[in-house]
Amino acid sequence: MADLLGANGTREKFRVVGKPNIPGLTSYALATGVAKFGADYIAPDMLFAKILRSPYAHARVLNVDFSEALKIPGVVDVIFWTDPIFKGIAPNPIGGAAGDYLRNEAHHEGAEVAAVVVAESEGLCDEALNALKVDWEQLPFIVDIEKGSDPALPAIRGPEYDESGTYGPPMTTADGIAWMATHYPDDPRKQGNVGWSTKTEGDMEAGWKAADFTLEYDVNLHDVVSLLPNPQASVAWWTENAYKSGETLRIEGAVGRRGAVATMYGLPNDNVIQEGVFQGGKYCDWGLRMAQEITPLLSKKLGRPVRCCNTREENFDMCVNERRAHVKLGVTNEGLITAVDDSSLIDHGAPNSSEMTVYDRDWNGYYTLKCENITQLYTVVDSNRGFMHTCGQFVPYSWDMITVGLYLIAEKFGKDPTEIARLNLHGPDSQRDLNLVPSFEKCLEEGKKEMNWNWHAAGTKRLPDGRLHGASFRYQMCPRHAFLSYFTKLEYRGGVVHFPTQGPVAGWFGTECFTMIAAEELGLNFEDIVVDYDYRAEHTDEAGGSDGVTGHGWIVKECANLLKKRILEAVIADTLVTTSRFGPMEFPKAPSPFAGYSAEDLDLMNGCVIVKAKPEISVPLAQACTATVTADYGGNSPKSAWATQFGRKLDTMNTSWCEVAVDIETGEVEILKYLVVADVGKVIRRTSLESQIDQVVFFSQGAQLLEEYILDPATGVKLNANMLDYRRPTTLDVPLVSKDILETRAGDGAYGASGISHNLANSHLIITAIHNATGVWVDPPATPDRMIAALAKGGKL
Amino acid sequence: MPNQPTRATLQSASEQAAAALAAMPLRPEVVSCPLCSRQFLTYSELSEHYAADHADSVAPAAITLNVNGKTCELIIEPYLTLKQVLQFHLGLIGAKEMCDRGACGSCTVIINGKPALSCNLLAAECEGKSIETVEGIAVNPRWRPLIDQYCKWDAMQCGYCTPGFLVSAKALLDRNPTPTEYEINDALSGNICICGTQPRHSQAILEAVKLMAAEVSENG
Amino acid sequence: MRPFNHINANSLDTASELVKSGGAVAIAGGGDLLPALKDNIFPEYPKIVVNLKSIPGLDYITLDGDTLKIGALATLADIARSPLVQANAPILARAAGSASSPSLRETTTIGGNVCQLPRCWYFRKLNNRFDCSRKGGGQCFAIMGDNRYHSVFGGAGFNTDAGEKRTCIAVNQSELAPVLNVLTAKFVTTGRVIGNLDFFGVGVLTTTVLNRGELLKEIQIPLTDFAKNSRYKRFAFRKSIDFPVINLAIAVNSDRSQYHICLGGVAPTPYIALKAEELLNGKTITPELAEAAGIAAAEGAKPFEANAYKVQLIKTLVKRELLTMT
Repeated sequence: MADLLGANGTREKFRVVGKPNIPGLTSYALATGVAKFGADYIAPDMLFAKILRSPYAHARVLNVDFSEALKIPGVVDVIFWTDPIFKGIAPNPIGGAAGDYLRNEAHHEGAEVAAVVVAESEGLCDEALNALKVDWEQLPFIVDIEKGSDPALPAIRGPEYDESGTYGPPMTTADGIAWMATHYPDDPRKQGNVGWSTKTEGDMEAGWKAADFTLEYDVNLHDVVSLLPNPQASVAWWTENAYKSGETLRIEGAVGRRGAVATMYGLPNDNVIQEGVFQGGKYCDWGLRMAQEITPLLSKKLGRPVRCCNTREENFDMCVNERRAHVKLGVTNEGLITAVDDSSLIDHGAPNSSEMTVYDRDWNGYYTLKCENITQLYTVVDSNRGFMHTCGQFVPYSWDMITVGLYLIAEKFGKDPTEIARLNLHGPDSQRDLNLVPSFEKCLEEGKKEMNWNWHAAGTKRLPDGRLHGASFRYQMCPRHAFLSYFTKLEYRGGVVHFPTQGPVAGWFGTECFTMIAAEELGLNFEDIVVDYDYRAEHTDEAGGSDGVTGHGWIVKECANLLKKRILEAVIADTLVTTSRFGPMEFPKAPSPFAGYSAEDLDLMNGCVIVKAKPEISVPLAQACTATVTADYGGNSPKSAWATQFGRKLDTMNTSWCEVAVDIETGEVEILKYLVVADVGKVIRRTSLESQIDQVVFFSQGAQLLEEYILDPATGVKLNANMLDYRRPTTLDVPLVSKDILETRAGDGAYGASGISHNLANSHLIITAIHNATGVWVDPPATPDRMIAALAKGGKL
Repeated sequence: MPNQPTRATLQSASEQAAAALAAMPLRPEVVSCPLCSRQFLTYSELSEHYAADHADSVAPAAITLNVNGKTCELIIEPYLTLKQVLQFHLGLIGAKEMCDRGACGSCTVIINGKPALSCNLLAAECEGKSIETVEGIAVNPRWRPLIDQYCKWDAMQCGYCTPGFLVSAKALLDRNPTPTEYEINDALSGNICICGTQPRHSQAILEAVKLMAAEVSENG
Repeated sequence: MRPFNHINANSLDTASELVKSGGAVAIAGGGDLLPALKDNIFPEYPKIVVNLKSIPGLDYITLDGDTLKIGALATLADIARSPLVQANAPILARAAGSASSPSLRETTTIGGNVCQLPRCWYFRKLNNRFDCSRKGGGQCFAIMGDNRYHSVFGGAGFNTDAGEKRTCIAVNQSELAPVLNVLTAKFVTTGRVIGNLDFFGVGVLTTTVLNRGELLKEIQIPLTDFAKNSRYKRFAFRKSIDFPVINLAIAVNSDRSQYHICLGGVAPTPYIALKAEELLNGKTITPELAEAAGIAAAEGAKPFEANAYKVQLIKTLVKRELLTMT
């Protein structure tokens, strides 16, 4: 049990939490197509806008001749980067461009640049864009980060684009240099396009000395494209505000966080109306696209509602950027790692892409090892490969480096990698804790049993059909979103508990989990709580991770208990009033059955107020409490190991297991079995967890077997920026995933829950299984072409 | 208050779909020029206006579409896809645009009983055909178990692609009321869910098939 | 999509006239044309799209004596489902039933499938980004670029309208072309009848020998014993939606005196594996022969930097399909 500090964290009996098959709050609206996403909104008399996109990887627009475009009937306006409407826009607080809003320089092919056309229809926008005569100045670009890592190369962007201190002032400014010196004294300054980030912990010399041998290997993680299903779009118009003075902006489609658009346009929150809550899938890609932000400007200039909608190609940004790690391990003859040296080359992408340097390196799989001697050097290269919005969930975590490292040690000794993992993983409390993590032990045991685990050395097992068999294993901790401060408000009014939330609805069913927790604590059913989706509400469950919003769940649990206390106090207060008013008249009130009790004597159960000692004294809640009572609660959950310890403390863990068959002659890889054993601490909503596992396996399978972001080396043009050539798995491609969900109550969320979240994804699990089958490493994605090339290179064909 | 449902039930969602169907205009309220907003009494006056004033522009066409059993007269640009006409002229947003190139299935509708991709069809070429959208399925009580099981098994996350999957599933069950798991996955293999719910659909559909079979036998 | 006018043709002749006069393109199922229009890849955007589906009676599937006749507008789904096709030309049903995805097969047509433009990503890149040889431009960008999906049997030389020589290494990725080839189909157009070996070609904005305005009317499949003993195999990275990376059709007559082997996705036009056919003709398949035929099928391949894997696949796929025909 981990939830000892809060209310009822050790609760044994659950009526609501863990109940299966409770539909999502908005699921029926989604399934039937009535839910409105940004692209679905239509306003009367609406205009359409499209933004010019760069055909070059790096280019400046010198001039645009728009005379032909404006001659086209139905084309309303062409607006340029020099237009005053683009000045003075504040950066979107959830990730967006700083400085001039629209610029005349594009930093990747497909980037918004220089001009916006507005017309009476989308087709006419296309016609207008086609009619623009743009004078481009092509500029040098980098799409190969290996080549781009030469510090002597001229910088591809000027100092005005240096945002390399996203988490502090820009690195090249005086302030930035001072900030870096304080926070990361070891990091050398940026040169040309290359920045460095280093960190050494422990005693490397002692680490190498303690080792009997060293092991060196490469782990190449390629970039993966944004996981946005819906075209990013918005519709905006300006209205008179019925209840607030001043001009009011109505904008739909810029769903993100309350206040984001208001901040950009310098408006009070109350002067921005955003009714839509459906955001579409967002997987650590928090920034809004320009199409979602620009419509208020256009609408203001043109006096009519304006819609701007990205195409699929225009949504083709990066979700994960490229990292090429070279790892050197010091290892003893027992298989214990004594030193870790990771030097990684990392793509930083176009300006304003998510920061990949100094900050993220701390969220790290290396810290799950007993080995404390760790040195890391990240070489981060500015490039024109593409833009990555506020993101960066997988690249810096170094889980794959551990998976591969433990596997290689096992291979060297002819040992089962699960044994090497047991040897190297530290205990729950610190890197010096030699105990095994109970949750890990359970996940390991369950996994071995279900997989019928029988380790074999690489390239030694052939299936009856002639294909090669490989298997792999890896562990991770279950991260919970407990690193932020959360806020929840519950309101009891008119006999009903209301849970106001701004949403957004993005697919992780967080509000459903929270509602279940609140219902549990308030003695109500899930259906009894009214969830009010209201953009003005402060509560948001944006922290993500299906059933893993557990830091937040803990806050909701505390809030519900506070509300309960206040409701019961109100019930007692009511017993002290002996008369009730009816118009001008006062009547004596019937005595309350709770008269003479104190709030502590009462409880809420099955929708009724009861006397704990005499449960037969029971009055329906709505009758017992006619007052309006509110409670809010904010802050961090008290124990958020992931937030502060980055793997040095371990509670709930998970293991994943994969068996593949490799057809050497065709390079085809088939996943025979995929098992995830996850200790989620406590199940809040089971389908959320199952669905989250399906999702991360889908991501992992896609990234490891199919998905590849392909740029033309000569021009830097994205060659497969569409859903036909960039392949995501279909219903016939996804493997059946076995799921084993354990509940040790060891997490830091409500009732010891930790959820799963998405760092199950993108481990080298399948790639390692392919090595176990073939004895050959292939860089992901292991598509047949790459497989055949790797097998040929390895002499296996 | 927000116009989004505080808690969508099958009933409320179905009612919203019914309202969307009822709001589909049987004919354009006004015949106005899409380029300069001038208003006319008839389509032929609009055509004359184009010939006179916008001779170089593509003139709208007058077509009739049969959508969810309702016959609607429309004046549309001939280069609009069925997906665009459903949204911008008929107010039906259930067919979603994702890839807009026939590679994701989010815009699936049923045409003459067969699944089809509305992003890859010109609306002008759908005259005389029977077009069924997810809204039409949502209001038909026969398909409630299917929608219900989709929601109970979380065969959706963000929900954007879900109507497309549901329409493909309905088209399958029309032809084959008792599909196997493989047949389901095969029929849905043109639908991409970027949240990765791919393995969850067959479970929801198989559960629905059981319930629908039970309903049929109950009703004799 | 940029605007265009739309005309419902009432006969092939009127459609043909319109297309011939310039500025107009014909649309059948739209599976190839509409994405191309949305991507704005044509050097000259058409002013008119001429609908062929409004012409009555072009989507038939009939048996006429010993000939299976399929109207150019028959959909892939209808062909896959047709008992006539399933019984008489099963590999055609199989190929038609494995193209793209279930919903797209309901609207895309056999005519469109055999006439579709190349899938080369330079050719297809938005807004005519690469003015490549296949559009009349001077250069094939794939030769020095990323050519992992391109030809392993060299480029095709062709002339532009102005008579300038051009090269292109994009492959023909039609699902049905290899099948129609091994079944020795005939292609009936508005002006002539073209044999299977002559139909496919490489030119500016075309993958067939059809002249501008010449429209495909019907495909005829002689029901010889080749149709009875045949195989179709597609190799793609995903099990749905994808175009085949390589596809393969094999047919043999009953006395095994003649083998027909045709591969898609390996050359600018459907590739007849003549060397393999010669090796096999008159023989019964043994494992050694199948292997040798696989190697023979790949003979002469000259892969580019990124597509040597296709040679390996040709060898394996030909060998394996032959092994099912012993």
